Amino acid sequence: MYQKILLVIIFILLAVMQVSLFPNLLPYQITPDLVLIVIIIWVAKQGLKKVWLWSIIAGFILDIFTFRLIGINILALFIIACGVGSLAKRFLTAQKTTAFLVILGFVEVGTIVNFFLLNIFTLKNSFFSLNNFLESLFNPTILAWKLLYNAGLFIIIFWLINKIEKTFHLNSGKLLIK
Amino acid sequence: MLKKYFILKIIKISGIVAICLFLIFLNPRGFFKPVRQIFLEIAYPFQKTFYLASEKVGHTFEFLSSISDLKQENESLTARNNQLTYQVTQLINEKKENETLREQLKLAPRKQHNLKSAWVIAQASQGSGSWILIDTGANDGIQIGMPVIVSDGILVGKITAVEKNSSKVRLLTDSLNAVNVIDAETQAKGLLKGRYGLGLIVGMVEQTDVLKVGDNIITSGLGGGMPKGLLIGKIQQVSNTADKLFQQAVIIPKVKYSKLTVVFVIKK
Repeated sequence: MYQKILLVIIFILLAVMQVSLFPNLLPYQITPDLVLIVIIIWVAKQGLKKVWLWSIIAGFILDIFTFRLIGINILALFIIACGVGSLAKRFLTAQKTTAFLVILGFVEVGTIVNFFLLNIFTLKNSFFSLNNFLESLFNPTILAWKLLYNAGLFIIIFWLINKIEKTFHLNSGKLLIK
Repeated sequence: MLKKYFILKIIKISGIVAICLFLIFLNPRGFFKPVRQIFLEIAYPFQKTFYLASEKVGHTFEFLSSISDLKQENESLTARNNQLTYQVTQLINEKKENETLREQLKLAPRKQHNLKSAWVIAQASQGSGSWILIDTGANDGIQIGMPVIVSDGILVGKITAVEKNSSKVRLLTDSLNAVNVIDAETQAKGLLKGRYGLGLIVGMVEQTDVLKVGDNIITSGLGGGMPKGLLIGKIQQVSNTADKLFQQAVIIPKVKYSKLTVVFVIKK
């Protein structure tokens, strides 16, 4: 029970960091998708069965703090978690370097999927013409920076998780939520 | 057996996706407002701390990255300073004329408004609309619809959501914003709209009206939403709409919306 409460608090803090900490730290006010990266790493390591509900909770918390319509981030994170969950079974191996590169690939693809899903639902009430809608949906500059930031943040988070696992002699089995 | 398992899985996933789409498209108004209120109340001290701390760090990074430009900027500023010293002597004479013109144009000086200052504690990231979160809310008498300005009457947005100690401000660059404006020099009327956080555009200007590059755009006060005379920006480019029925102009805002730290809410 306490673990679940702690996880909710962690997701709240991650969402707050994404909205309040990163806009001023990085150029162009483009923020990395901190919550998305954590969910992808978690699904890749633990499997979809244990993480799908937390992807919905994390999406809900993100919708609250980003003032989006409730459901947008829930849908995006859930779809990405399902995708990563099924692909991880096929492609993830025990070898560290390969696992790192595969999860990095998941993060980059997840970023692109997340970017389009959020833009599609945010722009659904578009006032302008189709050209303006497409211009905002396929903004390559924003997408490129997001891919870069997410890759950088993923490397830091992945390194931290491995460090914690080594320091406390944890393996994937012991990180299970009861 | 395996087939049954897959079908069950697909049904579960489809069910969750359907619920999410229902929430997004039907958007039950106010249903999640109490929940959002609780989360924002809990997170408010963390948001304020993170935002202010990151601002300081961000300024340090900016300063370090700008060192190479400082020499060039110093030279141009010195030249500009000399030019401005000469202009000050001329401006003293023009001050009286400006006061008469301001009275004629009925611009809204700050002394006429009841202002509440506020710190910015969060802002939108790219792609999620244009908004900022400020640290003043219902406890300070803030209400939905109140205009938000900076310094001397420069409009930046309006209040669209209010919690106890915080409020959400939708910036002018948000595509959902629409403000009645006029050209301060030619009195041409138009409708100002945001462009998905990327800029401002004035549209619906009649072909018989005149728009000139460099003219100031101010609020017209029509529609009752905003006071008259709040400055928004300068015209950068004038063009016709695709159907040639109206003119439109791209506006450069007077302030950088991504660098806001302190704003003022005009309390009615």
